[in-house]
Amino acid sequence: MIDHGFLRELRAVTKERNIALIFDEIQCGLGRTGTLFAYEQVGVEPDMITLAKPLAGGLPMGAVLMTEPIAAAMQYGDHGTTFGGGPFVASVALHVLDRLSDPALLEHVRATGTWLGHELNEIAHRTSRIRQVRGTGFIWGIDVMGTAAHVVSEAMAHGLLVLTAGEYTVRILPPLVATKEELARGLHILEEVL
Amino acid sequence: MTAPTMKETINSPDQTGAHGAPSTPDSLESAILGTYKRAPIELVRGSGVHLYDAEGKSYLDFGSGIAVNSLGYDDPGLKAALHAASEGLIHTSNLYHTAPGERLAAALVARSFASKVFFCNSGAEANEGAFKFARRWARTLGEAKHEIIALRGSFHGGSPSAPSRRASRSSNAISRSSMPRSARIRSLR
Repeated sequence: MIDHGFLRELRAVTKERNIALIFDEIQCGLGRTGTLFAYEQVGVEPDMITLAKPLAGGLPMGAVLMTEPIAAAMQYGDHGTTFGGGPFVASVALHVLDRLSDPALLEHVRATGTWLGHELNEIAHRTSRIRQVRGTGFIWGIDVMGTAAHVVSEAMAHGLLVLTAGEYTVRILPPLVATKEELARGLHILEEVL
Repeated sequence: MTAPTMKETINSPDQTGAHGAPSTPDSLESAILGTYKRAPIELVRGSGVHLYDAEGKSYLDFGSGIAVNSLGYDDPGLKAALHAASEGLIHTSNLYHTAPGERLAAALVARSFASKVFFCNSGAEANEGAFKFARRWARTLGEAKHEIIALRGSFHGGSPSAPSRRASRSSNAISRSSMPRSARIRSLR
C-alpha cells in the first residue's frame, strides 16, 4: 500500500517542478477501492489518470483523464487510435460507469472490504502460512509461504480462482458485486488450501 | 495508488498442478502464441461470481478476469446495455462525432478532477498515451523533460515504453525501459 503522505509530498514536488503526475488507476480505479477513483482517498489530484479494465464491462476500452493544461498541449493529429471510444463500446461503458458510481455499491465495497481484510488477517493468524496481508476494498495481496502459483493451482482444484502478483503474492480481486457470504465461502477454501 | 504490487500473471510458474487432464489443447497443439501459461480448464459460462468449465465444475471467481468483471457474470443490466448498443452504430472511426463517446467523456469529467478524456482500447495504450501527453505538455513549457519515472515494483502495462516487466520482478530493481535514451524510464528512489 502506498503511503498517502508520500503521495501528497510527491504532488507538492511535481507541482513545484512542473512534472506531470500520472496515477495508473487501471486496476485500482472505478470502484475497486470503495471510491469511484482511488485518488479520492488520498486528498491529492494528479494531472492524469489512466483507466481500463472494468470500464466497458469486459469489452476492450482504456481512457486517459487529464487536466486542462495537459489537454491544451495536444493539437489535432498529435495522437490517434482507430477504435478508441467508438459508439458500441462507449454505450456499454456508460452503463458500467453508472453502475460502478452507485453510492450503494461503493459503500458495499468499503464495508465488505474492511471485513475482508479482517478475515484475511485472521486466516494469516490461524494458518501461519501468510507473511503479510495488504490491500483495501476489493483488492488484496497476500504474501504466502511457498509460491503463489502453488496456492493458485490448489485453490483452482478446490473451486476457487485467485491470481498471483509476482512469485510470492496471491492476489484477490473479486467482482464488486460479491456478497459477504460468497466471499466467506472463497475465504474458507483459501484457508483450507493454505 | 498501487496496491498491492500488481504485476500481471505472465510467464508465471506452472499453475496446472496435477488435477485432472486438460480439457483444452495444450500449448503444443494450440495455434495461440504461448505468451500465457493457461490453466488446464476451459471456461464456458458464468453467473454472478461463479464460472463453469466445460466439464460442469463451478469456480468462485476471485480474479474477475484480472479486475475486469466488476459486475460479475451474466449481469442482466450489462446484457441489456450490450443488446441496446448493438442496435446502434458499432464503429465509425474518430473522424466523426458520435454521441455515446461524448456522453461517456462528459460523465467521466463530471465525476473527476479532469477536463478532457482520451479514449483507447487497453490499459497499456492508455499509459502510452499518458506518457506522450506528459512529454508534449513539458515541451510546451519549453522544458526538455522526457523521462518517465515509475515506482519500484510497479507494473504499467506490456507496451515497449512502459516500465519493464522484468524490472518489476524485483522490488529493488531499477525500472528502466528498453527504449532509447530519449524515452527512458527510471524508478523513483
